[in-house]
Amino acid sequence: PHAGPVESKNEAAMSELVPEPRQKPVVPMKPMGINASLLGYIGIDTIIEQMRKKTMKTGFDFNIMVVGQSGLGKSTLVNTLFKSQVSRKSSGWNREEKIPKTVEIKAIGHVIEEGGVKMKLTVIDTPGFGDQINNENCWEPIEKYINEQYEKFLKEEVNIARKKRIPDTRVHCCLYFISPTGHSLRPLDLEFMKHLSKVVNIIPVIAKADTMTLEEKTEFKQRVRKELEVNGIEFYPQKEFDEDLEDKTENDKIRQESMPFAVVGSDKEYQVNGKRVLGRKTPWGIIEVENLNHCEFALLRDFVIRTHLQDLKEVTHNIHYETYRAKRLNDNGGLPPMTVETEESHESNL
Amino acid sequence: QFSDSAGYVGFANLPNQVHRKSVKKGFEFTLMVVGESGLGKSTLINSLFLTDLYPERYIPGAAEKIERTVQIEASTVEIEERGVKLPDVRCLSFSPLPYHSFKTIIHYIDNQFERYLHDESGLNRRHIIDNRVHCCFYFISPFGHGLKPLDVEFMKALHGKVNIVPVIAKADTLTLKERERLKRRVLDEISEHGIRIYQLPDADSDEDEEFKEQTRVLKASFTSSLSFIPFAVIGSNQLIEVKGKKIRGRLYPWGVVEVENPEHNDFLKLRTMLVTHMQDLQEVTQDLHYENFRSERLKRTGKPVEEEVVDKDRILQQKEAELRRMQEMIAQMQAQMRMKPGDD
Repeated sequence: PHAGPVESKNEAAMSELVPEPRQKPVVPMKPMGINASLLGYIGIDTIIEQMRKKTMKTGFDFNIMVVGQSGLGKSTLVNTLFKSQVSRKSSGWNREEKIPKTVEIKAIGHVIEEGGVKMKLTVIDTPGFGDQINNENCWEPIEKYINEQYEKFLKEEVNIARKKRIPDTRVHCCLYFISPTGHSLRPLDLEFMKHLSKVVNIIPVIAKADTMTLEEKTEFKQRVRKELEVNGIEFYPQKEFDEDLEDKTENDKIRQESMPFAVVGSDKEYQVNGKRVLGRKTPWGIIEVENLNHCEFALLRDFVIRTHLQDLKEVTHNIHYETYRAKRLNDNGGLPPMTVETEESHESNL
Repeated sequence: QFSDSAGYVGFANLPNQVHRKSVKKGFEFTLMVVGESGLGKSTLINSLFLTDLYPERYIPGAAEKIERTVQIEASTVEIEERGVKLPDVRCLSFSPLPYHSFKTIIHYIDNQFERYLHDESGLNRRHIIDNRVHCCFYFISPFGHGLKPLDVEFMKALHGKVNIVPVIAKADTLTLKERERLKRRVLDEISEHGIRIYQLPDADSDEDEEFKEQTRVLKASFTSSLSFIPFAVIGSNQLIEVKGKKIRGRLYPWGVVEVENPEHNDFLKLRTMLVTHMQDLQEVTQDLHYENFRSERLKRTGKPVEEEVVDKDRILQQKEAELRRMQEMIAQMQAQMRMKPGDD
């Protein structure tokens, strides 16, 4: 009897009754004592455990790019970071291997596992960068590559039948190698970082830091920091993305004191004080890579891998990728243009 | 904490990083409870979160009940324990009368999906609020012999849109034997009608040594989770003194029914399940129900829904429709942006 009008009245009533922006609690919670028991029995630990399980099951992607002149120890450093041969050293001693005429982008993927957690690590090398006589605009192929990964992700995201886990080839972290001249940054360094810090997380590192004494190192770092600031270059962790006071305090210390990390890499082990350590052997002593008194490799490793890995990915996704996406939507008035590629990949989804 | 043993890189720490971030961010969770009026939904919600969300409700008389076919009550509960902020839980309660309003509930769920789809397709995606319904407790009356036709209709309409957890209400009207019989009956009927209810993710056997003693009981109940679904529950707003302690319960001449006594009912298991599976419930909503909605929605071009025909023209039409929608949205936003001078 009342089918029609009652239903539409309810729909109207519905939109009135349900509050739209989520409101703060209507009823104040009971004192903490009672609520603590709610979860005390269950244990917050199980929730943490569930998350751990999930992360372990799905594994994760991490894409790290290394940029710098040849011979600065990029591959060695990456191998040291991940304690495996994930980057093939360009054999500078082999006369057959020439320096490429333009900047090449080489991405190599490895799956490494630790403590049940699987990581698909992709190391993106950029041979040829900074090695030419004329290095004008040699940052362009790199920026193009980075944007291409954003484009790939965007295309997958707007698909009708999209994958549950979109494969992530976006560059999460770009290590920029500064030559340890001890003087100042080169114009190329500034050029590169100015352009690329807008599209990717840049972590500047001072390579082959064992060529500097402690004083030289401190002075050089200060000068580099100053130059970066003067040129308005925001390296990771960027000030504007500090989420809260805790982050800001932690990151301020890193930005103002530790960075840029002065590092030494090595894949050779030596015996020091009864322990086997990674290092470089010289007539005047053994430089221990993981010894904080010798260099800042351990700081870099802890920073990138042990504390800020997830944040690097999140800033890439929430900031850099979103910036790209917004620009894309605005420029094209809509979706990425239809290409034959899109149709083919769409059909293969069906 | 960080072992510097040879070969240890340290990315096994990632799950902790992920957890720390999501704990800081928090997430929104919406729980819907559906069932006939008078089955104790509000009381149960109060018991679940140990609050009086609905103090002393006005119970309408029979004549007024016919007019109010849908009651929607929404309230937000913030749960915080030991500095770990759990999601903001929002509870919606629906009491439908036959045949009128399950469409309304479906529309509500779809509207939330629609809103999320719209936000997700927009330019500024930094602060999308997730108002989608992540879990639905469906209340089954203990007074029947199983599912009523309305129950079947409802669950079939909802199972493709939301995670359904069936709950037998007012379980204290049944003896334990009657309860088991009813549970078995309900499960049979659910499978007979092809109703898809929320499946608890399986616990891996090789984790036994990792779980602490206090979660052992929890795990045991999950390995045979099927024997507890549907959860037979009792709720209460009253505190009764039992053996010197004040507990939530119902006082009868023949004894006290204790809400939090696992021998009296499945309330604790339901609560544990909800709290520890909030993330999974949210994920299944995102990865399954929402994605289904989204792909159906994007396929629709205004023509009547046809069978899945794969051909290039159709794809082109879909893309063009999408493009048009996006262009409209962009045009709107640009118009808004033009009104603000000097911004970019």
